Amino acid sequence: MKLLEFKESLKERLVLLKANTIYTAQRELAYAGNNWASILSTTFYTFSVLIFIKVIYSNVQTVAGYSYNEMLIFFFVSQMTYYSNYLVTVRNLNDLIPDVNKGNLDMILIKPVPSLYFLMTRSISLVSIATDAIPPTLAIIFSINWHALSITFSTLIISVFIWIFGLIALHTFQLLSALPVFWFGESANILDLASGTASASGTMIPLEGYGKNLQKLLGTVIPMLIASGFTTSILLGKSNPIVLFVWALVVAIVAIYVKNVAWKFALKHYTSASS
Amino acid sequence: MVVKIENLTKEYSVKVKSGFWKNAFFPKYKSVSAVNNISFAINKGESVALLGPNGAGKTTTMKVLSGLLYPTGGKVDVLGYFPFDRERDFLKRIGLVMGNKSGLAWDLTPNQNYVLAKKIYKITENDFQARIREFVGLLDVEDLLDRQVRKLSLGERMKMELIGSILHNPEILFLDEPTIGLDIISKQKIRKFLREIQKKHQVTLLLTSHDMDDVEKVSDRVIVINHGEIIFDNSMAELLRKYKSKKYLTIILTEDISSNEIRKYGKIIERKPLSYTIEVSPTDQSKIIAEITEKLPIDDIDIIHVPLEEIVSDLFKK
Repeated sequence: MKLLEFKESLKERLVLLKANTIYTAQRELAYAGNNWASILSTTFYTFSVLIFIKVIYSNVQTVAGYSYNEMLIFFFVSQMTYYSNYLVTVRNLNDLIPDVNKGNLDMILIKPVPSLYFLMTRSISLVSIATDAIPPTLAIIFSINWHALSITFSTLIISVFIWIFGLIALHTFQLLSALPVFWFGESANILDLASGTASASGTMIPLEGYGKNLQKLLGTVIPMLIASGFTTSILLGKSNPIVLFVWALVVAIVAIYVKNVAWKFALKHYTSASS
Repeated sequence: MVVKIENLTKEYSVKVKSGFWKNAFFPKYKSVSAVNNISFAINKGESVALLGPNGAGKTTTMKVLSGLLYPTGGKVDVLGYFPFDRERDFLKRIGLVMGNKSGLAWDLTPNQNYVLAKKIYKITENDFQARIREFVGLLDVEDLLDRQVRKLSLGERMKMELIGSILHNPEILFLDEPTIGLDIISKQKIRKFLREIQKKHQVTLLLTSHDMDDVEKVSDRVIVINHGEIIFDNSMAELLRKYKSKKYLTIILTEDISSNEIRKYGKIIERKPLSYTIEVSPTDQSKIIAEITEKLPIDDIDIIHVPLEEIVSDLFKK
């Protein structure tokens, strides 16, 4: 019975995901002109950072124990984290805040769907991923000397799982930073703070660049290091994969639990700005 | 019984005004009561209007009933569910239309929105097509199905919102100011549509509106809330009967005369150029009309019942 319910729930979520993804694509395609600025912005950023890394490594051999090629791998993982986090979590949270503020959440809560799941998959931007993320990421991929790396299949699989756990933890952290909107009516700046911290500490400095205490803090309570830092460290064989896998798994499980409890609690305080 | 609430209360926290900096960084809040201890029940297929002045608590009540707000106190039962639990089966059995909130995605066409709803509510293709045909026909909006929602006028959008809210065949439809800002033709179409679906599909309607024509045309029962408390709960017929002892005469004159001349025949309710509306009792009505026709320069006389708007306004003052 439980298995049947689980299958039904999974099926329903996939149907919703598909419907929402198509809906987002239709919405994005309605404003084709807007996409050009995004493409130019991400491309410009990527090339700037690639040049910056090149300049840094023209003077030093390693940074935080990372060679030039290893730093490019970290940059590659960081960008994957950024795009996934931005295009799924941040975009949807940016939509959630005004919806709560203006009471438009009403029209979503009235639908017979798992509300948080629906809200967090409302804008999965396949068009943006195709246009903004892929071209600049290709530039990073072609800059990396893949032959110089020795990544095993098992390491790759563990890294992918850790990356997913890291995204889950990051997602919860940012969701929690957006939830004060239910009490105060606004939380865009708090979300900006959380996203900015994630971007600054999680995607710019590798795990080994932090002291032990900071690693613990940024790998648990403020889980910025897991998706990019842990993943790259495992990929490059710099850390024990089992320890970091268990660490990331535990943080992800706690994050899912906290997320659900916090969401239910926030909904109880929803005031539905009046019509 | 499809709706039953007992001693429902709902309180909100509102910011207390304090100093500029204190307000910005350390605000204080106080509790304000929006709904205060109200109780009522609604039977299946009833059409009920929830009336009250702005801030009376009617929208809050509706939001509690549709599961959007968590009640501060009291018992709430809608179709056997506690609404705030928002169980899927419950949400599939209700619909909500809010006059100034859009349930349709603006960048899509109504048709694309309905296909999304079809997936969410798991409506079969045959049912979906049949309902679209029926509702589109009733509201006469076939041409609008494939136009982007943002390009629709307010009245057109509201009609499409209505279709979207009942595609899944809800047992209860909550309507919060469904005709706000619409032109008279659109209002009439929506009222007729609501009555049709209530009769044909046995949908229970709970309506809030400041437009008394909506209330008169759509509802059979009226619940009046003021300051969060129920001050009237009875049939529309009973509400109108209470005011049958009064009638209004609108007198159109061919030349202007002093109001003192008019006051002899009844209390002046309204004065316009070359026109007065006076209140008379039904028993004196014939005698007064005869006198007025004989003594005043009359162009036309219109006899009207006390408008519902005034009846309700009278109730608010009590």
